[in-house]
Amino acid sequence: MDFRDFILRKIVYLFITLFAIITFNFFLFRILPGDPARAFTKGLSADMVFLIREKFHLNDPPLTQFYYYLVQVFTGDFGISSSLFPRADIGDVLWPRIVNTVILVGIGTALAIYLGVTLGKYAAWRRGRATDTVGMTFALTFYSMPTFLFALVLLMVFAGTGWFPLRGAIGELPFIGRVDPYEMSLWERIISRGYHLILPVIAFTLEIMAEFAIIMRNSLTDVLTEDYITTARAKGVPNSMILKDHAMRNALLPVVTVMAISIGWVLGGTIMVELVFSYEGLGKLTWDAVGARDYPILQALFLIMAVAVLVANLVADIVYTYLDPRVTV
Amino acid sequence: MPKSERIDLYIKNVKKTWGIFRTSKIGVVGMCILLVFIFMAIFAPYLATVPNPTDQENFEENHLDDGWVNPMPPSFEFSPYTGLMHPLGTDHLGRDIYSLTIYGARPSLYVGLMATLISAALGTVVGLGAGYFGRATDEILMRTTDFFLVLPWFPLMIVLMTILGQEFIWIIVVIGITSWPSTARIVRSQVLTVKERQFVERARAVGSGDGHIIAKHIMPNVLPLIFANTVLLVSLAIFSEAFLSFFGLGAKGVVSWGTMLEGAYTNGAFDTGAWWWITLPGMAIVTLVLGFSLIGYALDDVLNPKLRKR
Repeated sequence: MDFRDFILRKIVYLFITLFAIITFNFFLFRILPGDPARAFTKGLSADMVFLIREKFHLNDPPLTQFYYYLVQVFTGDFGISSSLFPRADIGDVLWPRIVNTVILVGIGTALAIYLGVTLGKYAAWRRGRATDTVGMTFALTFYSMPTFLFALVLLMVFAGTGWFPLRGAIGELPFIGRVDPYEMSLWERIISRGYHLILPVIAFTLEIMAEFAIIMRNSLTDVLTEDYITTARAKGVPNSMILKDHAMRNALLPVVTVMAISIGWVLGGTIMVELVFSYEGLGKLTWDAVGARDYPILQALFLIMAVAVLVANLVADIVYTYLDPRVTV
Repeated sequence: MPKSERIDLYIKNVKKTWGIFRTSKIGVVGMCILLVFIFMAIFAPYLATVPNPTDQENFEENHLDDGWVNPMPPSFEFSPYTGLMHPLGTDHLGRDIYSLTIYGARPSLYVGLMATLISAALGTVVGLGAGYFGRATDEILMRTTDFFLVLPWFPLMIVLMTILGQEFIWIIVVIGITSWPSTARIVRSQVLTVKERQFVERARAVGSGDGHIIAKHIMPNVLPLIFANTVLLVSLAIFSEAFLSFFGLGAKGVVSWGTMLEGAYTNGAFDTGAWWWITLPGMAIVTLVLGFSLIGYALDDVLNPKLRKR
């Protein structure tokens, strides 16, 4: 089977899973006791309640409701929030949050992959020596530490110094202080965002990196005991080339798989970091929605995160086939 | 095989495994950490300075005129009001941090073990069914597993907890039902190789039923391998409990390390620099999770013959 068939098949699977997730998401929120429109109908007359329920299609049978839900999801209409006032359109609420989270997760994950793979590589190459012990102790400590705890420690350490902004995604400039974001120029906005990102990215990166480093190390030590590495050494291939051309390509495969599986972990990390640093992303929004029991927002958030994981899995599959041409599933 | 002989063989196997496990330094360290925490959970009333730290009677009250304000920093003096010592200070309600942390080992270990039990049982049943029966059963069960594997489980736990309500039992159930897919995959792949072996074929030839074959021939060969994975699941479950509690979805009325940290965060311990409030519960979580991870990795080394020769 060639590469195009493989991708097509993956995409068909992706759509089936997507449909299953949407169905799951729809019925999950129907287990809730009580009337979904309750938040909007408090203190209204019976006629008004009926009209509002009619507007949300709540008087129809469940399958018809599901049909409307499908149509609305695919047209990007997530409904309105039940806690924000005025009844905000969830799409409008989500977009800026998605941008904030993608910036944080993008920078953090890229750094974590790079640093984790590098650390794991050095630890495996010097297995049993000081670099290995120190590196793995470092990685295991961060691996065992909940992300929120490390974020809290950072917050406490830097709270006294005032070197970095502790809350929010934008608003402070280095050496200047608090500025109204609406009065900033484009460059100032970028600088301010970067300034606000420093602590959340450190917390996020170190936590995610630890897992990658451990897996990279274990996978590479495994590969380095293989016979073909000994052969390469015997015929005089330089160490750097053994590592780069012979060992790393095989050792990276399990790492890619684990990365795909750990996307759920990554999302958990983002939620915690955003919560601690009050960074206005999807994680903070989840927390706000849970606190206000805003089910429409929660439903939209769950769908978006599930789709993000699906897409990440597809990317991991493609990377995997690129790294390992033998795989033709 | 007579029963006594079987037990002898079993004991011999355990001894052999323990012998290999003992050579792994990190495994022994992890085991020691775990034993310390189990000791802490069982003998909590004797180790704590305040016998029942969640009892209203043992709370320190604010005495603003005397300069006694909660949270109080650590001191080895006895409180003039309740006569209790707070070697690691108190929280915003006047509860003793040291004693709360000692008692906190109970819910953490309990959630970790019970949730893992649920998850391992679910994963084993699904994996056995899929691997042994194959065909349509396999297809259906594995597609379901794949589906749960791609669901983002942190957000899923949050949503489920919001819908179900903040009860201790729900925390256990929610963690249990969101973490089984990886076990199911491991069990299935193992069953696939075991069921092709000759002794299974022979058992079938002499007329054994599916139930007998699964229970007597497949299970004993599969269970040791999921053991390492199960130990790692425990640390994940403890982690998840701390996360849910910190998120504000912890069980009402249960004081765990996660809820202590949540209290510290929401009551501004980080702005006022009340380090004693977070250090102990934070260290407790890290150490316990580290202990389970170390045991898990060591078991992986022991039970995985490919790695053993390293």
